[in-house]
Amino acid sequence: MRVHAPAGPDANGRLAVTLEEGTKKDSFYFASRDFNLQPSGEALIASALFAAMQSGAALGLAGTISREFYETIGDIQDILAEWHPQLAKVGIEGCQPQPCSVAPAGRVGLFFSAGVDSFYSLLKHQDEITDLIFIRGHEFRARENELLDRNARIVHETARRMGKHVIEVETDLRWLLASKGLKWVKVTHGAVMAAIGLLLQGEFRRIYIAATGNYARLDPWPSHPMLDPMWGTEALEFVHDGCELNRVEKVAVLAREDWVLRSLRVCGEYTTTAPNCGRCEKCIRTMLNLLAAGALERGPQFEVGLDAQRIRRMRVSDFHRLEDEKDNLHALAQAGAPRAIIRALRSAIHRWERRFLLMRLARTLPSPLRLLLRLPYRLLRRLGLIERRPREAGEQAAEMQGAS
Amino acid sequence: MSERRTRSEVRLGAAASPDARGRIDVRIDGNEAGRPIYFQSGDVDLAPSNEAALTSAILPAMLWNQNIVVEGPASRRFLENLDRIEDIYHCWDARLQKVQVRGATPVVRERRGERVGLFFSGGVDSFYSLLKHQDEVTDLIFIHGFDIGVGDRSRLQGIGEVVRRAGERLGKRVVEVATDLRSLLEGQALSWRRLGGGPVKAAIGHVLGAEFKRIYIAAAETYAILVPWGGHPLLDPMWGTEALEFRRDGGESTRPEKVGRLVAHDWIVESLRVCWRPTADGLNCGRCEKCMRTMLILESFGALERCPTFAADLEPQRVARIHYRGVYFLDGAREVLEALERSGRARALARALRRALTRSERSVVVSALLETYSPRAASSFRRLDRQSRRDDSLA
Repeated sequence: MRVHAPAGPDANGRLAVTLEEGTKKDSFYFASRDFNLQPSGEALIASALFAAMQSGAALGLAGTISREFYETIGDIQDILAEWHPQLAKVGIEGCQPQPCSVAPAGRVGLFFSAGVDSFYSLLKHQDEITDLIFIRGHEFRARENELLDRNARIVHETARRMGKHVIEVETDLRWLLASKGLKWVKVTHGAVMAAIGLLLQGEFRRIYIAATGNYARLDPWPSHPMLDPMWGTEALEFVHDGCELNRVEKVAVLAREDWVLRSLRVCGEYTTTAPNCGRCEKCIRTMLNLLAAGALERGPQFEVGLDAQRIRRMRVSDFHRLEDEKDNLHALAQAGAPRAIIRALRSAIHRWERRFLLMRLARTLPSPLRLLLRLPYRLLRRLGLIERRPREAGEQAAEMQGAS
Repeated sequence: MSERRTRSEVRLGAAASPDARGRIDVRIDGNEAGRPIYFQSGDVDLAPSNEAALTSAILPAMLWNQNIVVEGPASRRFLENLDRIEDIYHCWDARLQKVQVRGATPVVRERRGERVGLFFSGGVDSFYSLLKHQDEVTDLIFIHGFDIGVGDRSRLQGIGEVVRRAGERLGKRVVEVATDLRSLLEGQALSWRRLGGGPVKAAIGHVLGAEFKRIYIAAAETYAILVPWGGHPLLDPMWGTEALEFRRDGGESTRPEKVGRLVAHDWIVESLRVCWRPTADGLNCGRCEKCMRTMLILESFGALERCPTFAADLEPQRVARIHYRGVYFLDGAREVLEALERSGRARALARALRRALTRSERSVVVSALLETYSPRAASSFRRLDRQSRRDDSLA
């Protein structure tokens, strides 16, 4: 598999990248009006590595790449191959490793989405950070302009308030990888951020990537404290930041600044009247974080308010989120939150924990019995009486969109 | 709960050089539980350093919630990393509070040697890392007081011979170092398996002095199982200085994959030492979970009969009674089962292992399910489950 790109972006700031394997050709792009993106060999490898590892073909590209990056790319692949059985370690061919020719520069970036994690890292490193990097096409498709513009406005307003630059970078890489069955949430989002960071390395010496989990939860995740720094070169360092606190503790830090709370944008759903829907698990989780910090009234706009019934019915996608909700339960109990809320949260946690455990128990049963047990579930789903789990449904929709 | 504090800080100190027996004592004064610890070696001149003292004292100090005071130089990189090291330990165990280190003068440590070490116990992980880095590794480091107590001379002698034979065969020096740091950590109820192993290895790396530029720590876990396990691929490199690098190695391979590489070498198969509770002469007991896991893997490669170091035979009845708890052991057993089933050998053993795995998984899940209804019911279930396993083993 070969990856190549022109020497620089076109007049619109758009950099088209092509992936070729035999007669098959795929293309994706990065674009920015705020920065002259540099298609370094490292950026091309970071963006094409997953596709190559999935096909099992060596990745070829011309030109030079950082020696440090070249020496680490094998270790990165060792980790990825161990995490995702569909990926195999491949060779990197055709390029010349040599110490990075780009001199270390002075700017310090932070990938910023105005969520809890990135706001926490911004406040923590506000004296050092010079630029907020906002990705279009990361959480929403780049063509969903209205939503993206709204989120971008929050990012720009934050930057104006704190005296930082904003660099907007648009890409469709997520969707190309999703069309190949490589899920963004669980597999690729770390590499997409690394690729974008490496396109900026001419002027940046450090880029912070805000952590989702804390050190107690070091399970495989595409952006990980062990993996993120490995994408760096002699000239650019990636720092996975914020693992020292869990989400409850981070929101408690953010609660010291009213304007930060008002600016929070945590929701990945399509909303029209407010930046956050208030109905999805992430919104409810954040509202509970805010309640525990005594800051719900000062918090951001949600389309609907916090409601015990909605908490009870919320859908939890996996064990990680369940652990987050347990952190919330603990913090709310300590903060003396209303009993109805605590009862509702405890009930939701138990319901989902039992469901996950029963699924695990079912996996220990002999195959014919497992199939038999699945029949009523499939029937109910076909009749439309129950829905798929939200993450599963969301991922499949994303992949179908990406393939189309 | 941490113990009642009698002082507000932990003071560290060490002799300037080893005594005539090659021993250095490090004072950790800060609590009634504090006491000197020692490092001793007849093979190299140990070099006391503030990095070694801080590495030894950091977990007790965090447990006692007392700042550390130390005088003299310490590596700037090491001191900068300590903050993150403390963050990690605090997240892993909420009893451990973040503390400050005062009095150390940050310096850039200069490397004076080119030796490359590997902590070596004669087990699967360390043999795998030795083969992988045999061109680079110059020294095998064998710790007395790690999984075998410093006073257990006959076992240490037996295992020491394995280490020395490996060293002779591959032309590597052997460095034996004894320490009682483990007993200090365990005396403070700090989990040895989860938390304690990493700092002990790092402290020994630091007392070995500036002759070493890199020390490998063989990983027992793969990158897919990133639970704290006597160290961690994220944490281990943070103990390093400008002159000395620690690398956790081997996370890319499962235990069956590692054994697959070892079985090509008869001399390794003949000397494997994997047991945490070896017999008096240092042989593997052949009855514990770890021994049986390794024997099953060897059997999947048809290599068990070439391995004379297990004191008991592998019997399906005993395999079927193994109880696995926790993600590390359950995942490890799944890997072994896959290897056995793929090989098509020893079908009775594979069936027995599947039975043990299924039973363990169900027991873990049912216990967790009951916990969501009634912790008391879960506790009763666990007691009954333990009892039934005990009855099985007596039957």
